[in-house]
Amino acid sequence: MEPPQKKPKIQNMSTIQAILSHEYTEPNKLMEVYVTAVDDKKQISKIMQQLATLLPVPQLQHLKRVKDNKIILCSKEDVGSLEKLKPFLEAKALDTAIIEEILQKTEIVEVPATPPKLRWQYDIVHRIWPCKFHPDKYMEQRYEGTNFTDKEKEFHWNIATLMMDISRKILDNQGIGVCVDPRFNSLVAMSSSFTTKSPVMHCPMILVDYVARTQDSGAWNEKLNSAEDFMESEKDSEHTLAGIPKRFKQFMDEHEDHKNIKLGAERLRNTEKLKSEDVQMLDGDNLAKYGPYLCTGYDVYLLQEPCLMCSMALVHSRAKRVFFIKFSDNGSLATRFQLHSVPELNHHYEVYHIKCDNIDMS
Amino acid sequence: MIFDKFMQEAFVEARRALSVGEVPVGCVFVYEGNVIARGANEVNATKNATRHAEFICIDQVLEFCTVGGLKSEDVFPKISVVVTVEPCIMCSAALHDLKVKEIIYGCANDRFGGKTVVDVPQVVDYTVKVEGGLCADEAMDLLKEFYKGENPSAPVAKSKR
Repeated sequence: MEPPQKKPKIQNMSTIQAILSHEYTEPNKLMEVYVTAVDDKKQISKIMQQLATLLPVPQLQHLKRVKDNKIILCSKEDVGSLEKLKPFLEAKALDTAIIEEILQKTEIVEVPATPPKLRWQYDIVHRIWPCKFHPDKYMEQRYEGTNFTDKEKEFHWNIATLMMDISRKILDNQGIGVCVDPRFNSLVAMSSSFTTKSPVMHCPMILVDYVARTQDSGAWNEKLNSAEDFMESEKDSEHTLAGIPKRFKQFMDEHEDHKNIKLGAERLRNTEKLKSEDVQMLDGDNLAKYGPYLCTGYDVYLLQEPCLMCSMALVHSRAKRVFFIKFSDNGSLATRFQLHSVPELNHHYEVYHIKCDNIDMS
Repeated sequence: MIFDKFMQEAFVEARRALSVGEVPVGCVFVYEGNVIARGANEVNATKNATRHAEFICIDQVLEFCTVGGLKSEDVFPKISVVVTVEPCIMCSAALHDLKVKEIIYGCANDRFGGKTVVDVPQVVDYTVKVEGGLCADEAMDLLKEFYKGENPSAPVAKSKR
């Protein structure tokens, strides 16, 4: 008898992967340092005392200075070749006797040049040299892909499915973007691109302008009102649908899979802002406290990985998280660049790639 | 230098922005020796953080093309962008995509300059001639004057973890 045929499991095939910077995904680089080996324990503490005051190594603060009988002296780069080590130590005004002791047994060893950020890196580097490590539970979860609950994953997947569906059925496979207020899992704005009207009207650029509409403003209202009809909301409603084009709402109403997704953005609050001194003392979510401001606290979902212009537009707009489904040749969050990993920027959003293995991605 | 007078026109825009509480950055686009677009930051007025002076000008150029029956892909490559502050990463990327002729700016933008902070040509795989330092002090003084007062719409800083 044939074994019973396995029922094909209808399951969620998507995985949501955080796009993390190299600090988290690459092994730590190594660097060469001079070490001395000292067998007498008393000597070690004597030498350590001198080194601590006269020869600190600030760039290696993540390392313990001593491993067994070996002591880190300095980076090789600071000194150069071995014959320069003695004059280098003399210039630092170490005791002559100590210098003699140090120079008896010196060697060059490789040590981790940067502190480990994640457990897997720590496991590697601490075998090379004893190392300090401050575990970050949230970053570990993002690396492992366990930061979302099943319910959250289901919501991300629902939005991804909605975008793919709309793109295929009414946008001729063009890009689409959705802005979500994650406090209510409610859609704030939805947009397609309008590059026939303007070469800079990429879908994320339009999306942030539709978000501005929900805050009673916006820059392209005149230009786009002829191209797009918008939902009207009841005047006394707490939420506004001003960022939702009618054609998308209609599509959602007509499709069983999508019609239960919540729509609407919180309206601008009339409350006066707290004084900046008071505000400095507070912590937590600015969106909850002060109401809508640009895309603060909002999540942005895009069918297509954004280009550099759009990626930076989302930084300026202070988006909380950016999810995308398809990689782009000019994508600037994973493919060509990781804009969200540039430390100088004044705002950093999290980036996730929603992988849809069961979807024809052509 | 030939761009001095255009930079002064950009400063007129920047000062206008300052007077209405916007970040004082001004910009003009020069096409065949004439200013065809001028603008300043309109972020607070529109509640759209992408409304930098350069984007105001890009929209005006498209209008200029529509009115004159010109193709924008023919016009942008002949445009010199004159702006008081180094274009940010977003604006620089847009201007590279549009293949403008050149970008002349006043002071650098250490926080998100499209040259100082990120190598935009490397990311977008296209290079536009970019030159900074024209009237840099004047541009910086305007910014300082703005940041003495506070941006009325600035978000509340989250305390660092």
